[in-house]
Amino acid sequence: MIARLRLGAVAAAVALVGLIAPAQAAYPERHITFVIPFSPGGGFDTYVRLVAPFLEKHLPNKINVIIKNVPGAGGRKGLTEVYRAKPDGYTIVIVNVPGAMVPPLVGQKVDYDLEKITWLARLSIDSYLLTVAGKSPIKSYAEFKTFAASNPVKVPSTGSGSTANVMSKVFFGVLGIKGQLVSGYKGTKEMTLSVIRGDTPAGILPSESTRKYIESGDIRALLTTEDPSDYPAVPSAKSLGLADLDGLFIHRLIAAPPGLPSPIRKVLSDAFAKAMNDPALKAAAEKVQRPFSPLDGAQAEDAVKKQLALYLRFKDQLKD
Amino acid sequence: MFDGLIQGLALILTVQSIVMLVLGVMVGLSFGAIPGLGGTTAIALFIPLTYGMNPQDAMALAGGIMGAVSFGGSVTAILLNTPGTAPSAATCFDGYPLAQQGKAGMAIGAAGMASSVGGIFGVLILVAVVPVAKSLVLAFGPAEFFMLALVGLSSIAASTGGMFLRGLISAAAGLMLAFVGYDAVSGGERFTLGFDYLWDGIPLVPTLIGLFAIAEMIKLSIEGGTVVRTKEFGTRIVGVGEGVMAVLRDWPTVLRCSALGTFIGAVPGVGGTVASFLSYSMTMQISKHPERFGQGEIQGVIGPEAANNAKDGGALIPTLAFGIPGSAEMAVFLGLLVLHGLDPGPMLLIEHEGVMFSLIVALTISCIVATIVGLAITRWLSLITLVNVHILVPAVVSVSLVGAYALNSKIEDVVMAAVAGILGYQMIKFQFPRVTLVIALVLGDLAERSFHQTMQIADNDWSIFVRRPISLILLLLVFVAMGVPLLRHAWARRKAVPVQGREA
Repeated sequence: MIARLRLGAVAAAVALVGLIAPAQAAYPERHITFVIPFSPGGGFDTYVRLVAPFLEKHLPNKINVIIKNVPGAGGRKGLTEVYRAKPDGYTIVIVNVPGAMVPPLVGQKVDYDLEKITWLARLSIDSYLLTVAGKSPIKSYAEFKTFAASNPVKVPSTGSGSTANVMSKVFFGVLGIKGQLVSGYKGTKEMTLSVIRGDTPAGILPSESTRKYIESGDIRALLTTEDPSDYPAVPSAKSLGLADLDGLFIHRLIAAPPGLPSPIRKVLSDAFAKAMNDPALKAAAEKVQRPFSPLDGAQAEDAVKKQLALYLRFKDQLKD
Repeated sequence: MFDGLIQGLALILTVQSIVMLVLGVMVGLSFGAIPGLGGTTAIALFIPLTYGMNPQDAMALAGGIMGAVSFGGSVTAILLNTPGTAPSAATCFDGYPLAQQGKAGMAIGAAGMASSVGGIFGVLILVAVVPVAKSLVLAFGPAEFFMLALVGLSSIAASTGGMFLRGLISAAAGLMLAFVGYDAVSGGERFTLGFDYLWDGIPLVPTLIGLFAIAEMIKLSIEGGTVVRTKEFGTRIVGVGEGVMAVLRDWPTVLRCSALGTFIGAVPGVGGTVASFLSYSMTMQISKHPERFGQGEIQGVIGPEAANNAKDGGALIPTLAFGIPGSAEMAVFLGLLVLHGLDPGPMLLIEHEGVMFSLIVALTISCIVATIVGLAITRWLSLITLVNVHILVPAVVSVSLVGAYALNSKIEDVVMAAVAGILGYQMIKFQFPRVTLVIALVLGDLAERSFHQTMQIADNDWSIFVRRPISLILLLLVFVAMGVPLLRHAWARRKAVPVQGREA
């Protein structure tokens, strides 16, 4: 028995050494860690899990892309971890803009700089919705305005400085209503559930994660930031005369630590571009209704600059 | 739901899944049999192995482990008076006397059979709850979550194992540890001492590995010798059939204790130890021959064993439906779900029906396979407890520390496990129960967060806790949980008074 245990240990050790032994090949020569700075189940998580196998397929050499959820501090914990990692191309992260962009704008201390980080790609954009529960008496934006005129509107939020927080405050400002955030929910999924349950009378939710609950009738959307609206019965913000909400999107971008050597950046950026063009991924994305809006590394960098200009306009409303 | 069951069966009936299931059963039996290790450690250690697996194979492995651990622990409890896991301790009371009388086979047979029936009972209740999971899920808002956390915390009184004040001190320490980290409500860091590592609080798994596995190994290495101190090992295992029959004859006890086990398992934070001990005392109270208990009464084995396995199905209800672990084992299991992109919590049962049913099917099969395999290899399995600690301790300690590291590839986790191990050993030495610390650590964050949310939703109106029916029921349960030990204490004192009078 003991001899057998020892034999097992030796076998395990040999297997381990085999794994760590360096291979003499060009980048990538070992596993790439793909950090999701949010808990599983939300939009960011879903996109990474969709794209990761195709990234493996289109990267040179046979390596694995290992997904790692590092939730916490509104996405800042995971981002900081990657920002501080070695710029060797073996650690990449999905970044939430505006989520990661706004905290420094409102004077919160962050340990990363989005202008220095290496951008690799954009996966998608997602519009935002003003929602109420399916069973709510509020049926339209007009009725919502009437409700909001006499009641403070509570909406769920994950925590200070998070995207949910930022978007809700921009909505409050543009709609000219008195809002109140109920924080402490862990991720989009819990917030969606809170709207369905009626914890809060309304919620500002990302469109793609909410879609299936709108289709099932558990949630009613009153307006969307996308124009033309991608829901038949939901008016766009532009059509309601709320121009400031038009084009307010959440961007899902991929980044690596600052100072990533450009040959490695090119390999990764190309692999993302090829992956998002892969018909099999497009079909898979179609099935779960998670469309891609691909941009390469350089284009993603431009998009970030434009977003920064947009949020600087809302700077005062975002402060607590 | 029926579709889900078929889908689950189809997913699990692949060669790969069945291999994983059987591997899980073997691992569960061995880890159950080794004191200090248990389902929690087994799942924690095998999480990294599942990296490359698809979710249903991982569920087959986890289901196999969960279904087999408690029986593994009971085998050593019966044969050697050494409970392999904490919940199996109640099986010692009558199982070991039976073994001493040469009826070890009967006791193991009864334990195996009762485990199977109890396990399947728990799973049936779980399956029955699945169709109403959505409405159940929607009935539980922040107010109810706060009350659930309170129910769990108030049950601490019952888990102190006779060390009331020490139990409360441990629990208070656990609560304080639960408040370390980033506070979502105020947006600030608390008690992180400047370590980014502590942003999300004290990590549960490394802490558990330290508190239980490492602490136990420190204790063993200081005591020396072998795990087993008796020389009576090698009893032939006979009368297995007799034990199985005893369970079938005594079905009221089996059903009663299975129901109790499922219910207690479903209450977050109470756990298997309370379930099996309460079953033992309930069986003894109902029995016509309470004086036979402790002398080798087969009912005293059947009761706790049925409850011990039934609790797994029960514990999965809050874990799957609410994302709230019903026990430490479930807390680690949550980590496994997360790893495979299965979002623990309200939508899990609805969105991943097939995978979840493959877990349910795996758990059911595992209970039966564990019993069969267990009965067949019991003797060989128990040999491990005769290994000298100088060989056993280094092996277990390295496996544990590698387990802590493998989880997130963070060296800080290893340090955390080591620190928790030293703390755990000191707690054993000074008789502070570790269970209450873990309960408080697990429930503290939930209690705080949901309390803040409830207050924000209700505009600081406390009456929300009694206006919502489920919240009110849970609040009453809190009063019951806190009142019963007090009443029992008062009753015991009143009974004791005349005795003292007579003596005087």
